[in-house]
Amino acid sequence: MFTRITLHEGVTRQSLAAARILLLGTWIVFVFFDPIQSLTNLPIELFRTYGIFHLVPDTVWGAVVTPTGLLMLKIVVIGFLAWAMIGWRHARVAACFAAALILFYLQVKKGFGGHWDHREMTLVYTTALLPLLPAWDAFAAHRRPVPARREGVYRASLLVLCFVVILQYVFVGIARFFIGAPGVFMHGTLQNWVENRNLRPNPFGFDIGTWFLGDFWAVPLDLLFLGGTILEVAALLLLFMRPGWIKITFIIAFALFHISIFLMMNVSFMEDVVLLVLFFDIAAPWRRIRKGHEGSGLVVYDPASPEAVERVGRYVERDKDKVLQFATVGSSAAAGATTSDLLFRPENSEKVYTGEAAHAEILYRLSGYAVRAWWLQRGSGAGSTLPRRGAFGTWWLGPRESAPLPSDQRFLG
Amino acid sequence: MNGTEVSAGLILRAGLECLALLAIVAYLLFRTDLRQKFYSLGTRALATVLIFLGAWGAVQMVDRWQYDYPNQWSPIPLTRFAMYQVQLKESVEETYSWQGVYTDGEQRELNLTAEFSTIGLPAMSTRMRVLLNWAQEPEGSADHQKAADELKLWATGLAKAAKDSEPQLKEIRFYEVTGHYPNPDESLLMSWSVDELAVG
Repeated sequence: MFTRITLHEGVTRQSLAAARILLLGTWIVFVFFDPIQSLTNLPIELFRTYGIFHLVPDTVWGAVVTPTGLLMLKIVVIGFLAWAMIGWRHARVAACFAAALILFYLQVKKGFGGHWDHREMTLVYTTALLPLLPAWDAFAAHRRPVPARREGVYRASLLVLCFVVILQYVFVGIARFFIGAPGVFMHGTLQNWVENRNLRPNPFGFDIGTWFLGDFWAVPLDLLFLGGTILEVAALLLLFMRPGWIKITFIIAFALFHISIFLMMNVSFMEDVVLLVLFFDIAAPWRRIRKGHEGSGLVVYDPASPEAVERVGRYVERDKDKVLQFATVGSSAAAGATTSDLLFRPENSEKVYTGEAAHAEILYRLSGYAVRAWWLQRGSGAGSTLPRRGAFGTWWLGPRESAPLPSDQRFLG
Repeated sequence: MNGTEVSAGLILRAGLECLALLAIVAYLLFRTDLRQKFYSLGTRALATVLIFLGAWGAVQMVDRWQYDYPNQWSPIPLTRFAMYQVQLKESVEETYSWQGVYTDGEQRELNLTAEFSTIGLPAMSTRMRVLLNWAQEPEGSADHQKAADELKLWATGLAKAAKDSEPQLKEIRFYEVTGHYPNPDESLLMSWSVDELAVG
């Protein structure tokens, strides 16, 4: 049997661009609030390099771990991250530098630790993959036209990013099952860890874990640990989930998993909670809010009216998603309409709008005119067709976009 | 089973772990349309992604020394993703504490992990765990001396961070912590007068 991947069906270039902003924005917040300056209090003799950073001369680290060096490093890292996030010219190159600098930055921090843990590494990997992806085709400050892309490339790009997130969970879960099971899920193992982590110095000071140190909690905590590990391995299933409550439940379970570890053991994996957002079409609410209303509709106009013709010309120009249909008064498609005024009939609706109310309804269906349409609609006093799914619903359950209409179905007569 | 001990059992488990990962990869590549979905990335991007995933997967299977300190070999920027796999005795039966004695005669905790939170709790915990173990070796042994040297440097960092504290810090102590919450036992392992530390 051949199983079809169903994650991220129907995503757009905006979805990938929003993921870029999420990843790079997360880093900016991370670096901005990171108290790395405190390292200047530590003797440099405590610093050790890991992996490829053995190749960097010791004098470099000595120069960086100074008040000026660390401040400069922070400014440069944030500068490149912001450049890549905003999408000025050569943003892709900036993203490459940003990824390399982030690794350098992490080495400065982890160099004082006992090992290089994987807390931020999934965020590093997803960020480092961005330059390979067409992540600057939307929401970018550069004004370059979007080049022709392969069909499905935006979806493939988001799948790659999500796949990295999934793999981290699968790797951790499989490692625990095969190296530690069954012992690691028995005899109050998790409870022992919780107790020790609450005795051990930590920077957060949560002591919720101490509520669960009684004998009664040993078995429930073991079962919770087993359940969490099963969840980690089951992350693979996210590849096969469409928007819906099962997926939402899964994602909430992961978030709760991280948050409970944070609160009970003072071990933070907040970056991973942010990465869970990648499993949703992040741009869907944005598209939904901008468009205001979904669905197509028929614009009927009088070709003898220069004002109507000019207005329709503007609609055609602005209808980038090609969802509107056009017909002239008297044509068969206009279904008996005889008014010289502009007329609009929403798709699958018997309701007909004229004048400014029609203008407002049409603008609702054009990307970028939602606010203007809303303002006009208030003025016209006309009711409106309700959106089929609100921004909140779209966020969780995915968009219901209208497919572009072919030309012969747009201009009906 | 001791997690750091290379035994036949651990090798067997590691082998089975690798087989499980390979089975998952094979399933995704051959029994789903993931490959076809990725084709849209284009040859160069897809090749780079696959090389990255392959290298990361290899490190996941091979790197078993990530928690060693000092680390002699490391594949960073790639790393193995694994945590809470095996309960080591030293990771639950004891921990450490830094305490400061101030000029008002009070002794209060010096929270190393909060003062240097940028390093990260897991990384800091590994280092302190190893230093704690070394510090408990017999005096005069190489490990004990290494712990004494390095802990003195950490004490210097703490003293520098607390330089402007009021009342002033006059002594720093490093303890082994055992027993149970909320009344653990603390055993003094080492201490330094602030005057003997190169606070500057």
